[in-house]
Amino acid sequence: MAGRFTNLEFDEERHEKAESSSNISLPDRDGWKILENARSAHIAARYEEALRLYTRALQEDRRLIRAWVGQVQMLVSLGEFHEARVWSDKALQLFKNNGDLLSAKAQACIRLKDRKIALACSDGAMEAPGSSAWRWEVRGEVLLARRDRQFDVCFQKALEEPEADWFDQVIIARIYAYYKRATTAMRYLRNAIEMAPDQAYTWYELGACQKELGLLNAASANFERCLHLDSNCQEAADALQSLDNITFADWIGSVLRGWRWR
Amino acid sequence: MQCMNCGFENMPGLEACSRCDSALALGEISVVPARASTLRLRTRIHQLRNRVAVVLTYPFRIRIPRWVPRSKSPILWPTLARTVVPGLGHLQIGQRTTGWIFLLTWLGFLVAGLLTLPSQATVWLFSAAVATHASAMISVFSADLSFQRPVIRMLFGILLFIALRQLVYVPIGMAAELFWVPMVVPSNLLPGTVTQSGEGLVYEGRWLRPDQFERGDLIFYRIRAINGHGYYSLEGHGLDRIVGIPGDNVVVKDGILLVNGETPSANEMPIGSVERMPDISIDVKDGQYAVLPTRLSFHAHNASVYDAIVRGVLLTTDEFILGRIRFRLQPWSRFGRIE
Repeated sequence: MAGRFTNLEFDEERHEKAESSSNISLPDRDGWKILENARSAHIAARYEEALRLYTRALQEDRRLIRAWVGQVQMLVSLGEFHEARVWSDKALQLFKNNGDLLSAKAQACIRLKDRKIALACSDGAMEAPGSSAWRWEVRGEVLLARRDRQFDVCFQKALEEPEADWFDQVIIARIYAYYKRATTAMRYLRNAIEMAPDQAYTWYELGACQKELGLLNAASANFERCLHLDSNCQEAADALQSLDNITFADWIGSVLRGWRWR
Repeated sequence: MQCMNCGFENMPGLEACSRCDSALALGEISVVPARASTLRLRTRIHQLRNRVAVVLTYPFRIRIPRWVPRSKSPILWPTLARTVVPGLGHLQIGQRTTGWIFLLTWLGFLVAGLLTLPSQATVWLFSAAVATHASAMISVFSADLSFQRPVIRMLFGILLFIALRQLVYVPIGMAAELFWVPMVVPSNLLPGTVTQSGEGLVYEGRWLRPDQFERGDLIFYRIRAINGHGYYSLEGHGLDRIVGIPGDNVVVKDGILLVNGETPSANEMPIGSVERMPDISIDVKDGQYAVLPTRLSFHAHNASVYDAIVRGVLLTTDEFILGRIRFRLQPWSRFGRIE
């Protein structure tokens, strides 16, 4: 008797089902492995490599929504906002109203200065079943770009999500850095460093923010720390070298940026 | 077929989920995203712009010589540059409240100093502005230079205050006085029609004063000391209109002023009373200007001594003229240009 009604839909059950949709069928083990490698590349800001790995993960298993989201994220990180928007539209055709994909599209739109669509996508993402730090992060970015004072609350919400970790602090810091708020970005990067002090690239990012603010001594120390943890980090080595060979243009630029960046 | 998006169990053969409309068959979908073309016009424009920028900014890309102190030296040049305006350094490193307090305090003292020009309060208010500036600089440098000990901070602050005052603010003030010089009307002057004692005025500085003065110009001038037989007068300052320029004949007869035989217009009359002037007839020579000392009071034993003093100070020369009076700053109720 009960078996006849198991497929009947009730509102509450529907939400519960949708929330657990990612666990419907476990993807291939290889896909997950590649996904982990892609995330490592993403953490180290090797966006091209991460994009290739996300694509490979999808070639293994096209059901990996995280890989679709990751592709859009990497395109945005590479500055290809238009392509990111097109790709997010395609992914959304496959996964209608998926919250994380909607958020990824919102980020692409907000970077394209299409604030209306970005807000609509972010609204849709927040209304979609489930919740994630990523959605709150994009929500925060949309509000930040729209100069809405609630953006900080969204970032805090992102960090309160159960799955939030140190890398979410880095993502928020990168968002702040994109909007020329190096000081606030530094705050989140310091939090990330406290949580994961062995992540070399975070030290580099902290140093980069300090360099932009003209705090060259501190930047130099952090680049050195990055190289100490990962001697192959070319960005840190280049940045350290650039501090030794600072030009008039760099100096004037850092001073002017320092005045502009708050 | 189970939908990957919502988990709905669809009938076999469907291409899209009946519940959420997501695609069910993903096997043939390309997963390689389109990338931005390097041949795109926008990319080309950016490349061209970058090349132009490289050429234009070439002079700025000259390396800073080794002997110039670097950022790693005790003096942090970018930090120093940001302390040009107090508070900006704090704002930039995120200390907004402190930054705004410094900036607004400094601006407040400066504005108050300008509003009270040229009184004694101005000196104190400008000094307070300099002290605020020095405090802001110490506050910024204390983080970078680790001047944590209060004694060192205090010594550094005193040195910084003196250096700022003498090397920055005083030169700025001196430069400003090349254009405009604030002054207070001397208290020993007799009442006049245009200005009163104690008023704050501005006269033209060295770079704005004309080569030749005109009849009717209101000038601020130095009066030289006079030594005669049985009398003398001390140095001082006067403020009055020029009544005669080179080539003019100035006559005062029975308290009536005539210049070249005619009565001057109202704008060319002295601002004090001519009635108490002795009878005078004088020709103004090249390089001289006639200014009746109508606002000066002289203590003389008798009329002849008085006449001698007036004649002594009647003619002045270019080097004794400090400048033309142009504005009235104080009192605020009479603020404005003086013609």
